[in-house]
Formats: sequence, C-alpha cells, structure tokens
Amino acid sequence: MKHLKLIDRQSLLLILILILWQLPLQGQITLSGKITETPSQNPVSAASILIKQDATILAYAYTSETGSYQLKIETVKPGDSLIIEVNSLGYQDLSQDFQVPDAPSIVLNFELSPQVEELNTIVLKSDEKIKINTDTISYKVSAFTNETEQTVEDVLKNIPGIEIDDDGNIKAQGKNIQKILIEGDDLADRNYKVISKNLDANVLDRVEVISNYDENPVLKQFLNSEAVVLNLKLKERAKAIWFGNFKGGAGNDKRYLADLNLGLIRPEIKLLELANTNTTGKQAQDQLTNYTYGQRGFNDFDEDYEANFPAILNLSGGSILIDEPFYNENNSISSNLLGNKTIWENTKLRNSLFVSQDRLDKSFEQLTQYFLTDETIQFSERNQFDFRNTNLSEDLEVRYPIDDSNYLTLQTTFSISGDTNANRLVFNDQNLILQNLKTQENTGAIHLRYTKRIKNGALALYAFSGHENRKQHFNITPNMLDTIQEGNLLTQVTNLNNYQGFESNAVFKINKLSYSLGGGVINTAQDLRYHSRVSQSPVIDSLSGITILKSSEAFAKFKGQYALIEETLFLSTKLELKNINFKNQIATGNYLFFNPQLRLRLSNNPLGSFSVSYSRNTELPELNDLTPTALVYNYRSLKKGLERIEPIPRDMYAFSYILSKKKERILVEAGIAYSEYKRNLSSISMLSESLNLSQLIYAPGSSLFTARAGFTTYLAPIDLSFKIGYNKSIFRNPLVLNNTFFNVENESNNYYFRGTTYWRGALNFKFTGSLNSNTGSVGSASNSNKIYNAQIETILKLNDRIFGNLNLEGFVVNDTFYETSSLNLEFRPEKKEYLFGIQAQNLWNTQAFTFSSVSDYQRNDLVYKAIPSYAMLYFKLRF
Amino acid sequence: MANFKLNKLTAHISLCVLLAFYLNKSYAQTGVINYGEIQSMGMGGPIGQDYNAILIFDKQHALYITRKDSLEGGHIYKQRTFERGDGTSSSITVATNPEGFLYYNDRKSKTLFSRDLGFKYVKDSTIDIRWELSKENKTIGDYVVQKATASFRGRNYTAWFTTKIPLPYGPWKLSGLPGLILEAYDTNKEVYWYFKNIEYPSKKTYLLKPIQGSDENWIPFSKYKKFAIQTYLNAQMGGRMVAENAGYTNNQNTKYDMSKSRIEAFKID
Repeated sequence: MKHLKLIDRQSLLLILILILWQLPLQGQITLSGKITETPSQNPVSAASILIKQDATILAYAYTSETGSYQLKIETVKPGDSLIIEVNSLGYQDLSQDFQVPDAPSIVLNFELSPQVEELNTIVLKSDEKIKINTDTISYKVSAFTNETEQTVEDVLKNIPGIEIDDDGNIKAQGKNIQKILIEGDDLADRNYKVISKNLDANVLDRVEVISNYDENPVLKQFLNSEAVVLNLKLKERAKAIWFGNFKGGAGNDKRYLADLNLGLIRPEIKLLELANTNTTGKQAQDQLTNYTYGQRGFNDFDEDYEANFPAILNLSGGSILIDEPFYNENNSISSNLLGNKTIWENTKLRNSLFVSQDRLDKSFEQLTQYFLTDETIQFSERNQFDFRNTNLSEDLEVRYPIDDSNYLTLQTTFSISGDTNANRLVFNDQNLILQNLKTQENTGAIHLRYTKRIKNGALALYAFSGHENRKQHFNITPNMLDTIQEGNLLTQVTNLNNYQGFESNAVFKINKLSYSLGGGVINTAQDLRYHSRVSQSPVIDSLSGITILKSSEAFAKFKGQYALIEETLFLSTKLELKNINFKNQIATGNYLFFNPQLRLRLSNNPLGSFSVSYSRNTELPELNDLTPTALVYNYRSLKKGLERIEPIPRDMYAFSYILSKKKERILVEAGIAYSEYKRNLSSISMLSESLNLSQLIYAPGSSLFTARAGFTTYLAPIDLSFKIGYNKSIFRNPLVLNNTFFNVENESNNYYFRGTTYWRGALNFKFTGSLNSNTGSVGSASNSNKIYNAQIETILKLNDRIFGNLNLEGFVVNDTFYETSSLNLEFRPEKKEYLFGIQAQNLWNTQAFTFSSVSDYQRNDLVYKAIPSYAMLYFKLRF
Repeated sequence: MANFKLNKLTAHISLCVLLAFYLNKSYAQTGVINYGEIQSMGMGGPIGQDYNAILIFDKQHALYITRKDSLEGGHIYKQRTFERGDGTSSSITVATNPEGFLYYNDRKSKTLFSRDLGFKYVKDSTIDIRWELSKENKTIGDYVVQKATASFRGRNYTAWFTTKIPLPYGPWKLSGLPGLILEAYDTNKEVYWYFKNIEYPSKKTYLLKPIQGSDENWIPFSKYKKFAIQTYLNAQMGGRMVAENAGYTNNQNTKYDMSKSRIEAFKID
C-alpha cells in the first residue's frame, strides 16, 4: 500500500515536471477581440482573421454577429513576429505585424473601412466545360486485380462492364469490341485476341474503354459511332525500353508450356513479339478465329467487305459440351510480331505477322442412328483424329490523314496455310478406314478507302479486291463406295474465288436526322473443279464436275436514323436494293432483291423496354450447293447440288422485352423470334448403313422459332445472385428420306439455373445447373435425349499471397455420370519479379466423356477419350 | 413628456431599424460562382460526366446547386451503360433534375441543409472538416489560391482557396476554410470541382433562398447516412444481378467500397 503511494507520488512529480518543461515551448496563446466598421463603429460580422507566419497560416477565425472573434495560436514563442490579416467583403483589407507577447492571452481590436467591392473574373464561361474525353472511361488496373491474373484477358475479366466469352471474344459495355489499342496505337486490328491472350498482365497500368470510337477523323467530326475499343496503358517500366515476360512450366505426361513477351513501346514506334508453345490446351489458331465482331448501328462506313468462301471439304470430328483441353491433346506453337510506326507526320504504318502451328489429337467412339418411321439404320465408328495446321498471315496498313477534310487508308492482307487431317476409323468394329484430307490455302486482299468532308456530311469511297484459293486432296482407303472395297478413292478439289468491288456513300447529318445514300457494285467469280478416281484408274464421271459462278451485284441503299422521342423511342431502317447477275454452267439469270430492315425500340419506360423488328433477307445458293454431280464428302456421304438457281428469301420477325426493377431485385428478360423461308434448301436422301446419297432441292415450308425467358434476382440475406431461365427452339424443314416425304422437326429445350456467391471469406462459389433435351421427329418416329449438367467453381483466397480456383463439372448423359476438374494455385512472393504456380487437370483421372446429340432424323451417342490427369509446376519471370 | 420620451425612443428604434436594414442590405450583397463538377467515381481519373454547378452566396449563407436541368440548358438523362458490370460498380446514369441537388450552408446555425441524393432533405450539423493548410499556392484566374487538404467522408480532398474572398464556402459540402474554395478534388480526381467564373456583386440575389422542404421531410444526417448505405448496397445487388443475368460474374473481390460509385464513401461493416 505504501509502496503504491510512493509510485503515485513519483508519477505525479514526473507529470508536473513534464508540464513545467512543456509550458514555455508549447506557447499557446489565445487571441480575441472585436472588428468594427469605421467610422460607424458597427460590428463587422463574418470577417476573417488570419494569423500568418511568413506564408504559413497558423490560425484563422471568422467574427460572430457581434463582430467578436477568438482564436488560438499554437507553437509560437514569445517574440515571434506574426502577421494578422483581417478581411471582409465590402471592406478594405487590413494587415498588421504583431509580436507574440509573453502572456497566455491577448485582446486585439480592429477597425475596417468600407469600400465598394467588385469581383469579376472569368476563366471559363458558365456553360463551357474543360476539355476531357467523355467517351473514354479509364480503369486503374491495380484496383481490379487480385494478383492471380496471367494475361491481359484475365485482367479484363475483372473490369466492370467487360465480358469475355469462351472463345475469347471481348464485349465492353455490352458491345463486341472492335480492337485493342496499345498506348493509343493499333497493332493487331481485328485480331485483338493475339494481344488479350498473350500479353502479360503485369505490364498493364490502365485499361481505357473508348466508346464512340472512329479512327476515321473525317467521319468522327460529325457522326457518332457504336464502335467500342480498348486502349491499354502500360506501366512506365514497359515504356521507352525493351521489356519482357517469360513463363515456363513442366509437368508429368509430357505437359509443358513456355510463353514469351518482348516489347518496345514508344510514341513513334511500337513493337511487340508474343510467342507461345504448350501442350496444355491453348491452341494457336484460336487466337485468329471465331471472331464475332460486326460493326453495328448507322455508322458502319468503315466496315470491310467480308469475303466468305468456306472450304468445300471438312473433316473435323466434332466437338462436345466440355472444354476442348479435356479431350483434345494439343501441341501448339505460335509467334505474333506486331508493329506500328509513324512514317511521317500523322501517317502510320501498321504491320502484323502471325505464324502458328497446331497439332491436335482426339479419339472417340460414335454410335449413329437414323430413325425413320418404318426402319432404324444404325452403325458405329471408332475414330482417331490427328489434325495439323500451319498458318502464316500478314497484314499491312497505312493510314494517311491528308488534312481535316480528307482521309486515305490502304490495307493489304495475305495468308497461306496448310492443313492435314488424318482420320483412322473402325467401322462397325470390322472395317478399318483411313481418311486423309490435305488442304492448301492462300488468300489475299487489298482495301482502299477515301473519305472527304462535304457540306453537312461526308463522302466515303471504298474499293477492294481479293482472292481465296484452295486446293484439297482427299484420300479414302479402302474405297467404301465399291462393294469390293479395294484400292483407295482419291478426290481432288480446286476452288478459286476472286472478288472486286466499289462502294460509295454520301452521309449527311442534319439536326437529329442522319441518313446516307449509297450504292456500289461487287463482282465475284468462283470456280470449283473436282474429280474422284479409284487408285490409278481414270476419273469417275459421276463424281467429277465443274461449277463456275459469276455474279455481278449492283446495290443501292438508303439508311436513316431518327430519334422520334429523345432517349425513348427510336426508329431505324435500312433499305437495300440488290441486282445480281448470276451465271454457272447450268443457268444464267438476273435477280432483283429488295431487302428492307425496320426496327422500333421503346426504352426508358416503367413497364420495361420493348423492341420489335422486321427484316427480309434474300440470298442465292452457295457454290458448293451447285455441284452438277455428286461430290465425295467423306467415306459414306455423297452429295449432288441443286439443278437450278432460285433465290432463298427469309422473313424474320422479332420481339424482345427487358424489365429491370433493381430496387425490387427483379430482372426479367424475354424474347421471341420467328423466321419463315418461302423457299429453303432441302434434300432427297438415300440412307443406308454404309452410304448416304443426297441430292439438294428447293422446298417450301421451312421455319425457325426461338424463345427465351430469364428471371434474375439477388438473395440479400445470403449474398447470392441467382438466375433461372428457359430457352426453346423449333426448326422445321421438309426432307425426302428413302423415297418418303417427311416434315422433319427439331425441338430443343433448355432449363437452367446459375448463381454466384459474394461472401467475404476465403471461399466463394459460382454454380450452374441445366437440363437440355432435344427431340427430332420424322413423321411419326421421334427420338430424344436428356443431358443434365452441374458445375461449381470455387474461388480460393487462402491469404494475401496464395490464390487459386478449383473447377468441378459433372454431367449425366444417357444415365452415365462423369466429371471434369481443374485446379490452379499460385504463390506470389511480395515485391519480387517472379512467382510460382501449380496447374492440374482431371484430378480424379476420369477416363471418358459421354455425349449425345439429336437432330433431324439422326441420333449420335459419343464417348470421348479423356486427357489423362496431370499436374504442372510453372514459374513466371519478368525482366 | 412621457410621450416625447416615447417618441424619442421610437425615433431611436426607427433609426436603428433603418440602419440595420441598410447594414443588412450591404451585407446581403450576393455573389455568384460558376463551377464545373466532374464525377468519375471508380474510374481512376477526371473522365466522367462534367456538370455545370453554381454557388450563390452572401456573407451569411451559401447555396450550391448542381445537376439542375436549367444549368445544363435542358434535361439530361443518359445511361452510360455498365449494365453488365461485375457488381463492384453499377451502371452510370448521367442525369439532371428540375430542381437540382441543393446544398444550403447557414453559418448562423452551423447547419448544411441539403436536397441530396435520393431527393432526401437533410439537415446536417455534423460537418466539421479538419483542414490542414499548406504553404503551397498557385493562380486561378486573378486569384492566388492556397492549398489545403483534409479527409472527409471516405475521400482525401485537396482544396485550393483564396483569402481574397474571405468566406468559408466551397463547392458541395466542402467548407470551413479562411477563404472561398475555387478548386477541389480527391486523390485521383474522381470527384473534381473546377472554377469557371465569379460575379460579385450579382443581381441574382433572388436565387439565394433556403431549400423549400416541408418540416416532416427533413431528416438528420445519421438517417441519411443509413439511407445512402442502403441504396449503395441495393445498387451492388442490382449490379450483381445484371451480371448474373448476362452470365458474367466475378466474385473475386467482394469488398464493399462506396468510393467506386458515390462521392461520400461511408464505411460499411
């Protein structure tokens, strides 16, 4: 007790000493007083009193209604010289020097003389805005990453408003993006996946989403565009010097990957080399294919003519619901060299060179049934596919803005590629058949554009020319067409396509109305020659033929856009008149088509947004539908083309509806569409166990109906977003099968749910579940299947350094259950130039995946061989 | 005599009243400042919508008006679509309304009356910004402005004020400096006010009037804060719902951060 008291006394003493020691230094003084007006002596309220030492404001206060003030000044010593400033609007400023007295408080009164005050400063006019680009939204990447991102694509997935589909197509703000720029410059044009799938995430500083993007400076002056592009801003360290990233890894089962980025990014020159090789499922060709971008809206005057001449023969082996890396063995290597250089003033030269090679292997068993009313034809195949592709593409572009009113661009592209597709199959468990398809392809195109500003608008001129040539060698051993089945059946196909065109558009914008008048001509010349022979025997006449198709198309179109009620009711229309002059060795003809498009959209409405549209599109049959004799498509399929040319008109009606009540947490989306063909392609087929013979014909009565509905909600108590939905489609097409006419109907129904958790712990989930059913009906016969699917993705955040995810997917197909699984875990040491990770696939070593499809009169049950389980360690290094 | 005295008193009072009236008039002189207000929450820089805003003040009151139809020369309603966001930032609506958002600073009662987000009438007497004054200065128009920094409702602000206009006002809720704030912004300029012009004295005295809200409408700041947090959470859920609908969700970052979509970023537990 006594002891305690002693301590108390000691501490008291200590406190006292501290206080005494502090006092002279603390030097806090209180200043108070009154401000009055001279000469009236009326108090001046709301006057400011500032205490300054040099330029630093030490304290300030405003006077009360009675003109009095009080303020405390800290950290001054007696004798310090300070300045007091007293200001009030309507009075002369007052400034006075003052020495800190040796007293805790002091009273100072001031008198202010009135003066007429006028403040008029104009930096900007009231309605003037500072210049910022409101079409650009910029995201600081560090705010949206969690350190597990490997490529630009992974980063983009995290950014609000950006979505990426399974093929790598990117949408920003709900629209497919046109391209990805780097530091404002275009390096890969439309082949942007080369950048998003290869460029390393850690060079990114910002991602800009640029809407209303138009690289044409003349059109940009007066027209809006619906195009959206991404612009990647790189970190300082990646600019001005060469930068690089390397990722390498190896695992069991001969799994490896190596990925290299090398870049030089300067304002006047940009060079980027992106190279990759792997056996872990990343295919090289995927970077250059499956693009879904199409310019939308009124301003599509810069859209290139798209040549679409697909290969005549194909041997692909099909795909199933599961991601390809689970059943497709790959060995891929690619190199993409991208460059952009300013050649003079604003003129830029862009060049992209892509080289890639893929080797893909897969094997599966297939049971096929043709279910007809009075018979069922059935056969089986054990397939092994070995696919190799080598491709080189080159793309060069020069953009020359002559002045504000004139703009010129020139683009040339060419590509050469070679494919070998070897298929080894055992038919009905007894016949070994080898199919070997070799394709050599070369394509090239040149596009020249000139845009000129005219009164109230612009004149856009476009000329193009190109070719797509293909040679195919198809060898089937043994020749299954002959009953003796001896020798091999060799088919050679040569397909040459040339096209040229010219288009001019005059575009005007007058107040709220934008419209364009345009016209042009497109010439195409297509040449298809094919012949088959058995071994060294002469060519078989009935399997050989020539089709030459020449069409001259002249079109005139009118496009208009007008907002009936601003931001609410929109009407858009496009009218196209086409004249096609058509010539092949069967027929010549002249066809005049009128293709109107009309769309009415009502939005910003409490009942939801509605849209109705109608369009008519008339097409002519394609080259491979016009073979004069039968062509060998595979060991069991021969198809003969149409005997005359007729237009194929399609009327399409669509309605869509969206209701979004975010407060009530309800989101409803629904739509229906119906297309009717006045005349469509159909066929007369002879089906048997080992051979299908078809002859293409025209037939009426074909239609397609689709419907979709979805309901989304958010369950706040458990932080879960949840959607249930339904899709339906019915396709009707008449067919003649084994001498009987059938109305064939395909119906598919898809019920699904999916959800995402937003928990704030170490675990989060995404899950989906669905039921797909397909039914094919041929007269009174029908067949259907059901596929159940459930998937759960677990996001792991073990601590600040270790992240990962685990993906599990289960299927029930034909009462067979199987699953796929993959795992990724990464350890990223703090502030280091390297990291480690582990990647694993097929954790439970599933052996096979089952799949089933039903369409028209055909049912396929497939069993694919799975890629065996593997685990791979990798590291990543930046330099 | 008594009458006379009374008369004298009356005269005295009249004189006082007159004087007071005169004085009142002198300090009732009104000034007008036009600002630009750029809101880019969650965008990392001043690239969002640029609104016209106005501050009308006398020595006792100031009224700040923004996102008002007439200031923009007509109603604006634009959806800068983020409809398929991942939930961390919902869609951006660029909108003005007939009355605008109003912030009325009454110095006498030390209260900020506002017609704030959600058109809530808020009586806020909790605003006491602890400004840190700096020596740093620059020039805006004719004014030498001095730098001050403070943290206020989830953001770190830099304000540039001029002692040449010795009034404690500023754009929005920023106030309490020894001079009027001409420019202010937060760390990444996601919220950014810039000066356009000043007119003093101005004839627009009629604009400076308290916010008209019926008595039962006024809510205290604490209630407004709850409301703001709730509407933010609702928007988050809405964003996540939209993402789910589109089939593009991202639940890797589930932290709530109001600063990505609101000026006032309250802490959410």
